[in-house]
Amino acid sequence: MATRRPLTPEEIDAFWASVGGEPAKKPAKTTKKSAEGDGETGTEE
Amino acid sequence: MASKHTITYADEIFIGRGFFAPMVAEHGKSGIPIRGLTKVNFGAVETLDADGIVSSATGAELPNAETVTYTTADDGTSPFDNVATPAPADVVMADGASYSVWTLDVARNVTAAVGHSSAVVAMTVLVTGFDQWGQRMSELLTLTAGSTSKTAAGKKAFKHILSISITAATNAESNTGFNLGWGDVLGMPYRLDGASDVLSAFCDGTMELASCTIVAADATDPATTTTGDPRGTIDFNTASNGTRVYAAWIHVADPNDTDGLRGVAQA
Repeated sequence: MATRRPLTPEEIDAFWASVGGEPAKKPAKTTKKSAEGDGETGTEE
Repeated sequence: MASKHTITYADEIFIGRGFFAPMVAEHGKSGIPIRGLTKVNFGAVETLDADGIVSSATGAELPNAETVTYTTADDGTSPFDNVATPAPADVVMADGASYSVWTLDVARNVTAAVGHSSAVVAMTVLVTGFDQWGQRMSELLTLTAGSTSKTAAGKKAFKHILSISITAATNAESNTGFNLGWGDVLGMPYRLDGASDVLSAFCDGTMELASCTIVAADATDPATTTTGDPRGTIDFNTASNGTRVYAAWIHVADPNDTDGLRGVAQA
């Protein structure tokens, strides 16, 4: 029977370091989409 | 029992009594310096098998923000039900203790692969086992996130596999077809300092040195789970098929020292 063990915070950090970083969080993605629709951004260009 | 004899413990060996003053001044000895060579017989190597240990693990067999560890106690049940999987056996290792392990035909690298319907969830795989001299060793394989399939090829040569720990910081149960098996990268029995120390490499009596991939010993000390093999490896050009016989002639630069023979201690 396989054994299962939750990860410690240190192991989680080590995991993300080894796989190239934690994926972008969904809230950050939502903010970016909002910025793209901002009319002021276009004005600056 | 074969008779055995050690010729010399000298660091440098010379042959001949020819004397030329500038050479003697350089060498401190007459004649020419010679080097110890040895033949490495890998024998008939089994065909590589990408799912020779773990076959098509999926769902709850994979981690969900945890580490799932498998051992030979799981042999015979999914995902360890591949008919090609070596039967576990108790083997006494260099530390004098006995371990239940899967034993490969020769010391060779391990490989991992995983799929997903849209994007692989990142996982790491820590393989723990023993080398051909019974030294405990571990290697961390990384399967990064993204795309529908990912693979990882180990650099170290395992002879025995003790456990497989699969880790994911998120839920990786949606990954499919996780396999762990063995590759065609063969482990050197003695520390190989460079490609120039391999004089010849044969597959079934045919020289193929020029087309082999030779990796020198990784001298990183202390070794880690991500450093290379401490003695070096060779990947012959012609794929193994269970009957092809492989051999190489190598020069071992420092046979007078433990590290010179086995390389740095395994991680």
